[in-house]
Amino acid sequence: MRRAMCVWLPSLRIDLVRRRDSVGRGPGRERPILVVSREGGGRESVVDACALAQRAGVRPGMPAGEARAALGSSGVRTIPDDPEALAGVLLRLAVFMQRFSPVVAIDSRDGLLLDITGCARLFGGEDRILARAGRALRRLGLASRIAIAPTFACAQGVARYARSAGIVAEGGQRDALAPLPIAALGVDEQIAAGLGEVGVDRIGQLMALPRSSLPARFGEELLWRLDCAMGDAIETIEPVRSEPSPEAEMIFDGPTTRTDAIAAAVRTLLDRLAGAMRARGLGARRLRLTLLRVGVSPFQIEASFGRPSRDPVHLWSILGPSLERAHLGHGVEGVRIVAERFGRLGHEQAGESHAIGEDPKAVAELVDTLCARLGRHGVLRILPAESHLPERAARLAPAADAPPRGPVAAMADALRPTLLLDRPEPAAVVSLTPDGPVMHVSWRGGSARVTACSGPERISPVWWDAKARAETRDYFRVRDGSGRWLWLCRAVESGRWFVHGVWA
Amino acid sequence: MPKALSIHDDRLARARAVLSRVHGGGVPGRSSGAGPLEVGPGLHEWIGGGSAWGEGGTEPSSAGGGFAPIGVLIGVARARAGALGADARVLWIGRRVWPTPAALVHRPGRCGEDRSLLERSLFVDAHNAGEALWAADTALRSCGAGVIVADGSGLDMASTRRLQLAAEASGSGGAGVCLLARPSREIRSLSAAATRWLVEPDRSDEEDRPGWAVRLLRRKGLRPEEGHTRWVVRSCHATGDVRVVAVTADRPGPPARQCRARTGS
Repeated sequence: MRRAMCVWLPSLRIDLVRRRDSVGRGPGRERPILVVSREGGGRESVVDACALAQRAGVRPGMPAGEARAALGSSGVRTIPDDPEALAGVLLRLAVFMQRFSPVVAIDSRDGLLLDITGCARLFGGEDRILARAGRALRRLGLASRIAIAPTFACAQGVARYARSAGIVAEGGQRDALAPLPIAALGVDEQIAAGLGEVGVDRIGQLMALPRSSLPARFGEELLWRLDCAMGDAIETIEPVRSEPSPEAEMIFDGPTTRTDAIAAAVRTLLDRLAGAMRARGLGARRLRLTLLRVGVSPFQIEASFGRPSRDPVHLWSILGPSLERAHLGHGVEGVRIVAERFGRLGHEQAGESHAIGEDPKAVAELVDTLCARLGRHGVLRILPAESHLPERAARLAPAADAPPRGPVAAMADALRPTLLLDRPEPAAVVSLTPDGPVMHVSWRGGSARVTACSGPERISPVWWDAKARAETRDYFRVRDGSGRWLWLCRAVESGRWFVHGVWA
Repeated sequence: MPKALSIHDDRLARARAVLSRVHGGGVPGRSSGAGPLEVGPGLHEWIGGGSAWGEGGTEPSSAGGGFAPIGVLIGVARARAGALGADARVLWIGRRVWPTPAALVHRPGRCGEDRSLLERSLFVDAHNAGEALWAADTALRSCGAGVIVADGSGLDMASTRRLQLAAEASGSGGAGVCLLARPSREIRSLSAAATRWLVEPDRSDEEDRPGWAVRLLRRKGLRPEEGHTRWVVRSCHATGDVRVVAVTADRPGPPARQCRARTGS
């Protein structure tokens, strides 16, 4: 039996605006957001409004001027509606949701429809696939309501109008749809208004009416939508087709163990693949090279790229070293290369020379080359983190990953050494009083008189991390007789001293 | 472009490359304009001197390696990277030369901060000398890295020559800069580096900010006694800036003229 999932995105336009704004923007007062469309005669009307605006009484369809007046002088942000861009976003979202089902269609009313028949067991059940889909969309910054039902029409109605969207069991459409308004069937507004005039506001009331009387008064569509929701009519959806992955393949006349011949074949395939990707305006993000070996399973090599690339020289520079270490078995009878992940890559001028720092492609290729040998975590970038603790003030992230979106954490405006030790090292200190100043330090088998001391700078542990059992620390900057500056810290509770950093 | 003009352009480019290789960016015979923060293209070695502890001294500890002179290297990298394109990366190869992130942030005024050096820095986790050498060589031959700061512990003459050649053949016409941090025990190791610097903590008691005494041990194309060879570099706590504050005298002045009394007879 079919199982249908409907993903409704109730505030898609507003969420997209917030995603765009989150890049490079720090915390600040939230402003009401209106998405307006311009109609004939220069009249603007509200297409969508954020929750803040809706609480002030703004509704879709309201004239934009009236909406702005209702919001007063609170700095309203007005965004023009862009249906084409929205359609593109929905298409990309549909491809994204193919991780839950191979059959995904766009629901014209700001949503997606997935045929998850037979897919839920791969995720551990329908409740788990529903939860994972919701989490995946939340990570993208999109609010969603998701329902699973035996039919698409029932799932659409439950996702949009039920008090709590969820899972409708097989045969449970009648009970799930009965309390919902007529609009949950997705019929025209006029039909819903006409039924309202005769006192039929709920689907349960509609189902109690004689079927023969409905088409004459309200048209065939109402009965058809009801039958689709109940499973008595055939529903069809138009799934989104994702672009096929570029690939190239060569089958040899006979098996070979000559690495030079196999390397030549791979380079030929890379040229063909590059040509195919150039024609489609694509670049590879991940390549999978498969050596078809005689009598044993294929040998596969995978290579990832931080930036889409279709330069055969660069692709070979990453694949070649791994190919040299490949086990050829009893011989290789064919080679296949597939760009499993790819992205848009515009046309570039060939043979253009750049000075250092003027070619972003060179940086990406350098990172790819280094990562191919040292691993994805072998080339890192440092990202400031929101923490006053010196050892947590920054985190490392793979340089091959895209830079994180969102506001950038501020760096602590405090004096920090040029070199921070991985772990604070115990030291023996002589000070006039427990709170300093420091007079003498012994560390790493040596000792020295302190000629200058400043501090303390008190750093307390985070109060919400009870498991860390960290102590409050007082930090001192001290200079020894040789002129070297050290960053000493004293654990306040235990009284122990450590060296945490050096101005090397 | 007409063929005759393109031939002259090629000759000019080769001549510039030779000059740059020989003189390392400085003026031959005089080093007053080429201080420790103004190194030119090529390979340069930085030795962290001064014992890790104790009274210090002019001779580095033979037992330990000392710390990599990260403070000075940050100043050199910032000065060099500022002259490059916006996409040029600064590579820090080897955990021994990874600086604290806050040290890469420059605060030029009372408000605001300049994170350009932090944002364009990439940190390469090379686990041994072989990986560090390969990573530095690869980066120098690429157009993507403008400055490479690498842990040069354990590199022999052949390895340093390889890096010097890579810097000359770098993707942008020989403009690559590689700063090798070497431990003090390798101060007498043979090297093909264009310059070799010794960095020790500055023992002046007058300043309340870290400082380093930087001594030029060797520069290709210059005799040891020519030009200035010692500088003092200080770090400003407030701005994070590293600057040369003094060029110190490195030899005694000429002997005083001797007066001879005339004797009459």
